Amino acid sequence: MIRKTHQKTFTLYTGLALLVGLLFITSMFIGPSTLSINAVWAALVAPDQSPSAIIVNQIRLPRTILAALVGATLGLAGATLQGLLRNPLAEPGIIGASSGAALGASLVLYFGLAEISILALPIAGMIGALIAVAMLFLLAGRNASPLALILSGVAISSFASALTALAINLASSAYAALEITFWLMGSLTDRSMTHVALAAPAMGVGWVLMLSGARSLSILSLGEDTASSLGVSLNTLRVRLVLGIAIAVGAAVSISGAIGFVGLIVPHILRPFVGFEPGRLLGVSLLGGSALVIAADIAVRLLSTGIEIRLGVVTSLIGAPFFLFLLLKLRRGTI
Amino acid sequence: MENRGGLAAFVLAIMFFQTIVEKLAIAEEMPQRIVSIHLCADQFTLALANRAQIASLSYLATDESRSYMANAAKGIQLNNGTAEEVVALRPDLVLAGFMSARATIESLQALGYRVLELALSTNFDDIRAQIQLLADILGNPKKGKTLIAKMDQQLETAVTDIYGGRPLAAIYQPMGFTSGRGSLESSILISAGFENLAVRLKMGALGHLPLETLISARPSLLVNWMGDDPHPSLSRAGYAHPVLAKGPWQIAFIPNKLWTCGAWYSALAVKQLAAIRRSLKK
Repeated sequence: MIRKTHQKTFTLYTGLALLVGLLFITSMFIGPSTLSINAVWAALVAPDQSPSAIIVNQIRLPRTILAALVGATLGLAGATLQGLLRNPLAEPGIIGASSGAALGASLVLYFGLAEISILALPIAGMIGALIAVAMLFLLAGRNASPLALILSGVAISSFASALTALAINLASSAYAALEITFWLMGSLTDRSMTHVALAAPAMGVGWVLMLSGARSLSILSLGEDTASSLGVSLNTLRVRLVLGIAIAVGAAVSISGAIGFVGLIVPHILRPFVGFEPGRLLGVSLLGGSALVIAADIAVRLLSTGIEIRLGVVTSLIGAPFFLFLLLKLRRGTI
Repeated sequence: MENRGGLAAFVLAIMFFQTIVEKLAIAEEMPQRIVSIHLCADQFTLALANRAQIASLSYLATDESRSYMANAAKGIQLNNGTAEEVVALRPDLVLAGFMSARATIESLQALGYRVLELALSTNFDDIRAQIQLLADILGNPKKGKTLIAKMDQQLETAVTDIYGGRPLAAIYQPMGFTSGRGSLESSILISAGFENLAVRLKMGALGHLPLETLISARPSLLVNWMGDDPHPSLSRAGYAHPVLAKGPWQIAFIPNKLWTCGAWYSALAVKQLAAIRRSLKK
């Protein structure tokens, strides 16, 4: 029985990893200029200063890497939050972590702090996300009902958005409103390896913190008392996971802007495949999130003519109806 | 025969008298308390009206980075463009513009104030028409003619040397925004003797230019007119892609204040860009 489960998990991981790989390769071929397989291959193996090499190595590659990393972060953070709050509707965007990160980043941008150090941006994103998640715990409490959780999330999101709007109001740049509006819609267009280097280490730290809680999360699903009696320190777990979420989501949002609903859709689709065990959901959601965001970013490039459709808009167009569908299911008591 | 001569003299006398009456009427109608609530209207008011006619200008009028006439605006009372402030200033002419708050304009009109809305000029014909219209309304038609002549002279010297092809250039703002057909930016670029990449790609007034497209099209010049904006923004936060600095193009920063309005000084932007075009050819 255990062996069978292991085999199933192995198949699932392999399948998802293959999917991510396939989408990653596909992404290298999508863009306004058409490049042949040979051209892309040549650019990757022997990079020179030709236009095709620059396009492949400095534009499409960093963009795809970031899509993979940001997607993984959002998928993993969604699964972690759902396990921690024992609530299928928890997601970084819905609970306000993304808005908090966006607030931190826009404050840093429009008051000139980002010009002091490029590190200021991801750090402010992390602090913003951390404050938002901490507020959620204060507002909704540990054993919040789904409704209380969503309401608290709405309150935190609205408050963070209001503060972001205030920051734009007070910003001296005449273009602040335009820039930040586009930025908040989420996009990976024209990001560079600098952005990868800036965000990847923080996301990695966040992942380790979250994944290290996998076993405890599975035990937690048996109830808090049982978990305590089995030696799981709830407070340590909570602090570790919340820190992990804040660090990873903060870094991701400060580079890509808000890309909503990934953390909601991915764990929900994958949950039946891991026997509804929260701990085992983490790793697969990481890969699933990666695949979803690379796919959405490919769709953005295929659909866009002229003004680009934003990545966050695409994921929300898929995600918001999905969220409603989950709410209906929840009302009928089928989750 | 004699009769005819008398009639002609009479007609001439009437025409002469009429002109005097018209001139008096204009002088009488000349606005004495002008309030501008729009940055572009500020520029025209400062250039075309007498200082004594100006009651107030918009709060951006003295901003060195956005207002071309910032120096001339010093010492004039500024306003934030709300109806309440405008009413308190007792204007006989209110100048607003594109993107002025609709509600403010409507409430001022409802209160019986004379409000003139400036349209967005996107080419030099528009600019000529607007200068003359405002000069007439402000009661200084001569100043308008002089300004237009000055502008036309600058425009002419900018393009005297285009014989063969026009080098390809692109307007490239932070985050990849560009301007194509129907935009002031495009008119300035074309008047300076360039071909605009966004027009070649059939883009409208506001377009998005992905870096990839830029790299394949290889324009010889990128024009950024927000580069000198001293206010913190995404574009100044190290968000520019490293590829931008390494491309086969030159990057020109044209001061923001030369682009914010379609005006006589748009010709100065044309002049600067034409000078860059000549240096490219060498």
